[in-house]
Amino acid sequence: MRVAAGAGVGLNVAMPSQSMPGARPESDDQSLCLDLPDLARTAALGRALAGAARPGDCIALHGDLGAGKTELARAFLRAAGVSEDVPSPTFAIVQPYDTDLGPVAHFDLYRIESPSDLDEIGFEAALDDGIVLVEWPERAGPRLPADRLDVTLTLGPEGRRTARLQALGDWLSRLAGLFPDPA
Amino acid sequence: MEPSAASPAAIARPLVLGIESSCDETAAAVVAGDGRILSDVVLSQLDDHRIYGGVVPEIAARAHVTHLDGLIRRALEEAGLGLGDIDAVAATAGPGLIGGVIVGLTTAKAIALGAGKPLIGINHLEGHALTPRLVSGVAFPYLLLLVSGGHCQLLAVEGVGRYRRLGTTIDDAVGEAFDKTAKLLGLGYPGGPAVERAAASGDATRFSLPRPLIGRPGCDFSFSGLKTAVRETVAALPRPLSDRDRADVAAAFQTVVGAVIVDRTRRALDMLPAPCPLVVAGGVAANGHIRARLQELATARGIDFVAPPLKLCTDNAAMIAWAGVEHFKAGHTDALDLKPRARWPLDTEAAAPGAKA
Repeated sequence: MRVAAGAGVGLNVAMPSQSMPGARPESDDQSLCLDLPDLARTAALGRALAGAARPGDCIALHGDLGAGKTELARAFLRAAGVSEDVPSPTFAIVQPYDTDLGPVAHFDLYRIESPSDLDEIGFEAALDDGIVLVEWPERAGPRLPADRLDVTLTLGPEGRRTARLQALGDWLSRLAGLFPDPA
Repeated sequence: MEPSAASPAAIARPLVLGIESSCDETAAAVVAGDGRILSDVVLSQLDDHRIYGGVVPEIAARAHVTHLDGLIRRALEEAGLGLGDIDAVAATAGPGLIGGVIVGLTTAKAIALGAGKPLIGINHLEGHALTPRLVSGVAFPYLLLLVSGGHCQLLAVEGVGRYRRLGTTIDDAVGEAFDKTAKLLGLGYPGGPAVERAAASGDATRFSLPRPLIGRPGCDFSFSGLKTAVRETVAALPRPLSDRDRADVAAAFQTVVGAVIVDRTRRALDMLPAPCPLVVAGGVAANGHIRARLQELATARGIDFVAPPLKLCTDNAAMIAWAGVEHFKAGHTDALDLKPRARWPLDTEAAAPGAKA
């Protein structure tokens, strides 16, 4: 079942618990799936997340090459008032921004070799300072904060994407507010 | 082979020690006022993984700390100079991975303070922008196409400290697109040369890829959608990929990139008030197809085409030392409280009143 979910972002939301028998989420592990038929919808999701983000947040952007991670992060940063360039962070590993939401660090861990490299790139310091958006978060291993929002983007045929949002810790309640249960 | 046998008195002043630690590279060099490179020591100079400024991390500020003292000592030794002989210390002050920038700039400050020499903070992009004057003495103004793993820009270089960015990538840099295409095709690393090798035997017409921004006004770049299109093209092919399929996708990709670069560069040339030389820098300038397309464009326009040698196209300290020479000659130095900057667009420096002046 796919239903329009208001929330001012025009995203189609499907609760896995209702639409996918056997995929019912744990009570402390609420996840929801969004259809992102085009890049504009990916951007809308980025903006929506910016509306709910707070200093200290970690938003982990999972997904393969071309899944739309940087596009989502760029929309997040634009919504947070960033007007300067938002380049891919792959080469620089981290791009720091001063935003209306405070400091936001956009990480790309594609090039790091082990979680211990996180010390060198100031990952935890960035979490202390503000919001962290992190691509290729699985490379952080156990160093990824337990309190975070996991966003998994999947590229389907013809540019259609899906996003699976999985809230951990404090994000649980906020996500529920952002995408109210369509039922 | 003692390039440094000349006594300091015989060398054109100023003599500038340059330090580069902003990316994956750690390097030190000494360059003289006439553009003679007295030494140029690059930590990974024999490591061809760096050719496209690509995806092998030397993330560690720790690595910079460990190696920088020795690199500087060696650069001075190879130049046959002591710290007392140099006229200034130039270091990359950004943009780049901040840990590395801090280490390089702080080391430069310590040397400047200890040896009583002026400090000159250099924008890494400015190092690339001024390199053609180090190798060919090209006069201002010129159009610089900077194409590397981390950058993709068209700059009007009008003078020392006078840079106008005409266009830039709105998403991925072109070197990154090469690296990621190579990964999608299961080609080796580094991605740029691997794609070029595969493309050499490929049929560029078999697959149709989008040609991002071609024909659009302005001269910005976009490569993210092309990357996604490569991924979708590859996903539709039978596994495992055949060499034929790899070669054809690589050829289609490289042809599109060449066409995009030529289209954007042509538009940038049109944005300039008068014809001027076209200069390319950055690791992607090593790509023979792209270089040939740019040469064709320059020939058609009747303008000079300058491509510095690859060693000076990729990250190095000679370009930082040379930018220091240019600033020193112009009377620019920096205070010791100069702050390192992770982000530092080249043209805001020119726009900011009093900056670097």
